[in-house]
Amino acid sequence: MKRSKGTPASTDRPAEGAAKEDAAERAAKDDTDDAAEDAATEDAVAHPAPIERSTAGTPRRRNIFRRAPAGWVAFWDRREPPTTLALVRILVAAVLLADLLQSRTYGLVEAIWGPPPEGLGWGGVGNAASAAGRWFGASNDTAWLLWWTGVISSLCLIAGFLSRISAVVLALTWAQLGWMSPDSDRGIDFLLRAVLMVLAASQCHARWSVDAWLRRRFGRPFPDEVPAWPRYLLLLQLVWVYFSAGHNKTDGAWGPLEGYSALANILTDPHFARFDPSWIAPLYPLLQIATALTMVFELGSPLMLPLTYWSATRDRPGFLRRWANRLRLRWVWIFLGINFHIGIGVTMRLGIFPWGMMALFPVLFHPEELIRAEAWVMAHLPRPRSRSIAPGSPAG
Amino acid sequence: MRWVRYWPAARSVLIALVIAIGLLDGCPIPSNKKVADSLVPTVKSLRKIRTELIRPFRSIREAFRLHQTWKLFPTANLNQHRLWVEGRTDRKGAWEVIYRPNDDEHTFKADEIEYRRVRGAWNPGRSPRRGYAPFTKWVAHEIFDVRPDLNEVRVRLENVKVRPRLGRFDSLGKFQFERVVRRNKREKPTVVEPTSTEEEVEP
Repeated sequence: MKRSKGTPASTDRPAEGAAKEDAAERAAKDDTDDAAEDAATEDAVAHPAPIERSTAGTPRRRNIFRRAPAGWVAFWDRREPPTTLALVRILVAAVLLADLLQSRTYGLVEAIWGPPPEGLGWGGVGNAASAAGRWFGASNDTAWLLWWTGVISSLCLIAGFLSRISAVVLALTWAQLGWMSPDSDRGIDFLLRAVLMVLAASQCHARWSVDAWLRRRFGRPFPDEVPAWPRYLLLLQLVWVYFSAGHNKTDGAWGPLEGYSALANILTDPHFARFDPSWIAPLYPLLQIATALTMVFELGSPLMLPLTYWSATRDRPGFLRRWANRLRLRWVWIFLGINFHIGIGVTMRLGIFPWGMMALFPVLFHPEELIRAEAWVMAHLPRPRSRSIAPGSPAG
Repeated sequence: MRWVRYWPAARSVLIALVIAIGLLDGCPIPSNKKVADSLVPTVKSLRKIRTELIRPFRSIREAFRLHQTWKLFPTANLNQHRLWVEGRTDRKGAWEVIYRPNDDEHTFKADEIEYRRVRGAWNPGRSPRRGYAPFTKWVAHEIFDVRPDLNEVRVRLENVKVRPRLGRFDSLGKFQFERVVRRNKREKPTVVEPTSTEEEVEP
């Protein structure tokens, strides 16, 4: 769809109509100059007009300090189809459920969250015991209680049943599991808890959920478009995770001083390597390139924000926008990220980390891209044979 | 409803607050050891200011156990550790290796020990973690359960140097963080009785 200059992306458009109506109504009711000016400001943000020049030739720009707040409000009030958030909801909850089931399969629930001396759950005892330790006592029963709560709430979140409550309960349970056994709580757990809180505040249950089905049954379906701010916030979170990981890599092995040897070093570390390190020597130069690309990927992650914006507004002019889209830099970054995670997922024993990170990758795509992908998948799925009468048969 | 009109503005302020707190929390302030002496007071002040600014939100941070400083293999040293789990029958007996990572011949409970949550307890940072002692007890009892012949289990970390260009890691001949767990005398070794089915099968 061709967009006019200055109009936001089709699926990322703000709730501009409602905002304008509100502001106009305010102006009519209050009949004040301020309200009318607000309406005009909001209108200007939604449809920025080309800069008009006075006869003297000076641009009649509005004061940026008045425009910026209205623009900020309008940006976070945008709407989009709920596909992305629904997908993130399902993937994140599935990763967390898989982790809980893995601990059960290995018979480690009591070992990890049970109290010492035989359990690793030292966070549940003592003066600074976790809330679960204080309320229910540090015991194997408490470990199982938390485990079952986690399993049930993650199942509910996958199915989209009481999604908001499930997301909050799962985040709180995951936090208590972390407090009970702090050594077993890794970075990915911290990240997914933050994601769960954003999902709890979102309308991620507006698609592919029992909640949505129930609301349709009761005649109160979700709107076709839901607030987009949770996706924007998750995108910011993802970018920050990579950028923070990049600038915290202070070891010389991650840079040219020690020859970009970091990945090769890590893959030789017996505590993390999945395979015998003999395969590393012949591929050492490739691993040096991979280390350099990892740093480019992580430190370059803030560029994903303008790249995503330029991709959504590709019809607008601009040298950088044109070249970034032509070189498909956004797709290059996503491709690097997927390769990075699959690479470490295959070669290292990191548990849910690579899969938990990739569960957030849908936020990197524009909603219409995911909708197109969904349509493609649906078109290529094998369909059950219809019962219609074959052409050429007597009844046909 | 009047409040609905102001909700988008209120929400955008809340989002701005969340982003600001997150950036503040994740802002990389170096440790005192990593800066010049003249900058130490400045770094301390910055850290204090950050603590004070985040203080009102501490309860949320603790309830959900959140932070915004992300570290993924910040160090990739050549000097690493390798876990050894060994057992022996008595104090005079020779130690027998039962588990070592990256050793196909000693794989006792490898999946369980290498599970990310358990590894968090035994994989050391600069010092052993608090879960290291409970881990040694847990792994010892797992061994005692299936090996009635063993009465002592030793857990320690070998200092190794990784040599990726050669595709191997070499021992430096030193061990750290050694802990020995002995079978409780009251806890008798499990005796595996032959089952009746096996007896019936005998001709």
